[in-house]
Amino acid sequence: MTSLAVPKPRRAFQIGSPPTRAKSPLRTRSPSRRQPWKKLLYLNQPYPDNYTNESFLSQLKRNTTVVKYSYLKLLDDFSLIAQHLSNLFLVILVFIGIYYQNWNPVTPIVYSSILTIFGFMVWDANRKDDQQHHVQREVEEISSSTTTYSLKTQRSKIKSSIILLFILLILSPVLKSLTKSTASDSIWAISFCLCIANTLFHEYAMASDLANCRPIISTNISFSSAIVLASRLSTNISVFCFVLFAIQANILLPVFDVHLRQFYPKAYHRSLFVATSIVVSIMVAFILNIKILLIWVMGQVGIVFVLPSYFLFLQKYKNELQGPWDPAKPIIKTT
Amino acid sequence: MLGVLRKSRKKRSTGEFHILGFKYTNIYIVIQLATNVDTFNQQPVEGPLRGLQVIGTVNGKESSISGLNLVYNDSTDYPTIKSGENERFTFVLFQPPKYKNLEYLSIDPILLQSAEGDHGDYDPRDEKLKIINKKFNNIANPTITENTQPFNTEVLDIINQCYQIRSWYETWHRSSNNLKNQEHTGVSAKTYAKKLSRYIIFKPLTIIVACIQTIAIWLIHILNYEYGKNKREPNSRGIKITQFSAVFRQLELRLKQFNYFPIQFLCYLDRTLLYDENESMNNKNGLNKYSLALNLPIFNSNLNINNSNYINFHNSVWLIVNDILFGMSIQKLIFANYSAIAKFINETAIKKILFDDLYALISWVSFRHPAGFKLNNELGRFVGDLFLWTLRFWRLLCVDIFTISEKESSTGGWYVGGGDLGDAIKEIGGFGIKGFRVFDGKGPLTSPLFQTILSIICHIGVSFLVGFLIDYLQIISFHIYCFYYTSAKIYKRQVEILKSLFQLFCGKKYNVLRNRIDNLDNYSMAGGSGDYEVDQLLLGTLIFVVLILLLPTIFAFYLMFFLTRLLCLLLIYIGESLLVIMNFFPIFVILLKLKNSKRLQGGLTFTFITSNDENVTYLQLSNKSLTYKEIFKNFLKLFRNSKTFTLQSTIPNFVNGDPISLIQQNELKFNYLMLPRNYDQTINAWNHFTNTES
Repeated sequence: MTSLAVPKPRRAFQIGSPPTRAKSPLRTRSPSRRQPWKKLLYLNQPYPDNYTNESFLSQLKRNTTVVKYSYLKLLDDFSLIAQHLSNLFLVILVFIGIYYQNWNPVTPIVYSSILTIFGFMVWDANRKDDQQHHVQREVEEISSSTTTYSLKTQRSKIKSSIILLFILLILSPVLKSLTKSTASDSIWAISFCLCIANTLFHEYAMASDLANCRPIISTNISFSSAIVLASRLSTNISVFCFVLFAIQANILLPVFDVHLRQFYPKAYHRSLFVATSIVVSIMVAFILNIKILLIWVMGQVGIVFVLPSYFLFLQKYKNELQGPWDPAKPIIKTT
Repeated sequence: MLGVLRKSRKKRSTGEFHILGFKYTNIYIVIQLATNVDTFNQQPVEGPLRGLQVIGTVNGKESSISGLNLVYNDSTDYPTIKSGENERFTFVLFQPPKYKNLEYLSIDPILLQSAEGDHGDYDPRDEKLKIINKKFNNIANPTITENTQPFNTEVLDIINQCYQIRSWYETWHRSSNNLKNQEHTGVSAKTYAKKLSRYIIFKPLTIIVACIQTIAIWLIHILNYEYGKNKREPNSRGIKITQFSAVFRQLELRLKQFNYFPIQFLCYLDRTLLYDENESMNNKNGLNKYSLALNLPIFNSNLNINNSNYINFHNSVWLIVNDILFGMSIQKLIFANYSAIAKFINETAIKKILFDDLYALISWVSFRHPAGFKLNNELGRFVGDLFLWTLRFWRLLCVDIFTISEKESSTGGWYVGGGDLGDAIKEIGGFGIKGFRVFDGKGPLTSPLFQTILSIICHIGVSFLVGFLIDYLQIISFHIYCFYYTSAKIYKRQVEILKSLFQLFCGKKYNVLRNRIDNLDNYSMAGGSGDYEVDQLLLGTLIFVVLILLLPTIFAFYLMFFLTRLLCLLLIYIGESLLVIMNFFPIFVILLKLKNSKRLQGGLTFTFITSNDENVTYLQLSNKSLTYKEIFKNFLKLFRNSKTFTLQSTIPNFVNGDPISLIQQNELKFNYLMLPRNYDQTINAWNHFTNTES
């Protein structure tokens, strides 16, 4: 994060600097009476209304806050987009597997559940560490209460996820019949729209303010997309399994990923990204065909490698003006 | 200077008269021409004639008398002024209003009916006087800006009393000529005859009327009894029978009218019943304690009361007579085609429309993708089955009860002969013994008693028949009401849940403490600080998606029942409108306007007649009768407001799922007829009469 003083602004500065000795025609006519022009609106000055002194733009600065990006860092940032896309695609692939190829819906859920439990344990252990740090820092004031609190939240976490599980199980017949009379096409259209909305609303933040990186809208949208898709499935167990898988892949996995980025070296996060990409690619190869695999891989590579360089290429068109004036901000009344 | 003059019929071109009249600062009011005014000059005038004096002469020889000196020329119809050439005169000619025929001149338009919020429209009297005077000035002397204020209430009173003053003057004149004795015996004989007739005719009549009034009051009490009222809490409201039944509402109105009729009738015979002239100084409206006890909704002040009471009374009587006549002819019509009508009601209305068609409609919505919309099959089937089951049960219960007998009873009904009343009583007795024969396949309406009741209803008036039809429609469409109410409740709840879950979906939360909606950008995994946790979020979204996908199905049911209910309400609305027309249409007022528009006082007008030279102008003062717009203004207001069922309130109610209904405003009707609020005080009016006459 270094702000550059590029040569251009300096030149701008020179242009703006007042050539004080240059005399305007007005001034030559009445040099004795004329006071030097001041940039003050409230003064009654002996100049015409449309008069512009050459010192007017003297304090103009350009591109002061421009950041110089490094390509490697941009790679990391753009890989988040690719990762989110592959998460979404994973769920869709599993749906295709269950819906068209009659997979046993229990198989993916078993794998993913094992991974989820593992991930939960890692997350929980780290959180305990974090809280102990916390306790050490804020010495004895709340030491006893926080440890019990963390235990309690851990238990309540498990309890509430079990409750959610059972509610899902109860509601799966309802979900199954929810869109039975609707045509499949319209469901695909709804699901597609929801996926687009999800990618748009998702928070792609790499490092800044990681603790608050859990956007509500994108979570809700991805979950409702999963529900809409699940309503096309034919058996209760497949509906249940698919929704559960979608929760794990689209909601818990990003949370876990954020956690990895927060507390572990970057290698962990990168290896997770590579792993998911490989899994998705293999599934594409098996479920769909090689052509789509090629498109998919090319798309991923394009997002991760080409887009950052294009982004860097675009930087030279940046033209930001700054001066002693307040920039005008449009005020849109919300009330 | 102005002369307010009565229009003389005969040309008094010859002969010499003295003018009797009243004189104000610049106004002469001519009442009477007299040849001999000697007695006038001898005695001072007392009593009602106070102020009457000789104000001038006609064709008088000596011009020394101060005041008016009028001359009739052969050439003109109108008198000219003889003296005072430099002064301007305006003759205002008027036909003396016949006060006994309820004609008079007034600046206030007569108040025939009232609608609430009327008081605001009325200007104070002074304002109106100003307007009248301005009008007068505009016509009389348009060139001169000088403003004279000739008209005030005193002048108008004298003009209105013109005939009375003349007759008083006659009697006074005769009595002053020592004709007292002969007159006196005649008068006493007359009063004696009056007293006798009062004892023979009026006493029993008053007793009968008072009895009827008592019965009416008791019936109104019964009708207004609030069932289920919590007696400990004075503000709690029970359920009145008049809230539900149009027949009883109609009955209440009729009883209240009958109860007030004697007062209304007596009031225009004798003003003092309600309006005490002595107290008019203290009390703003000049009411006495009887009218205060009655608590009339609105008061006419001053002169208008007699006339408006008279008109209202006759309007009501006329409408009631019409009502009964219509009812009798319709009863004949009904009984001539009885079997066809009964068949129509039984087969078409009840069995076909209310049950079979509704059944088909519900099953269409629930099973057969209504209008191509693909609703949720499972939910539709479930809800549809609930409604259909209820409908089948209701049909089992009701078709037997509410169908009417198609067989014409042998006695035919009331109209055949006098012996039918006995039959009716017998049947009532038999009905009581047998009780409800619902499950024999014969309801109470199938018994021949029904026809008797029907003919009785028709004889009371066609409005009662309409009321009965409204009630009947409400009873046989009760299941539609229930279905509508249930589906509206379900729909409303679902929409409410969706609204709050949509906040969650968008990551917002209603803050109870601040009464606003907070934005929550993130959820937490740890369950801290008021944000949602991820499991709460997921559960909320799950329910939201399920409910939003089920909403069209619920909405389809709601829409269907809403439309059927709206149809029923429209029919009821039409019936209620008919009732309002039959009960309140100002037919007598319209006829009065056609026959004698002088009796509908709407204000004053001046018409320019002629002016023979620059100083003298002749104007005609006459009454401006009420326009049709003014006559119908309050009626239309009542027509609109007595049953509020407007689209503005219906559409938002429909969207929110709030139930719609017709709101009856009974009070408005009573106000319109200016019936007293304390209806049980009418009996006391008789005390007033006995007190004053003894």
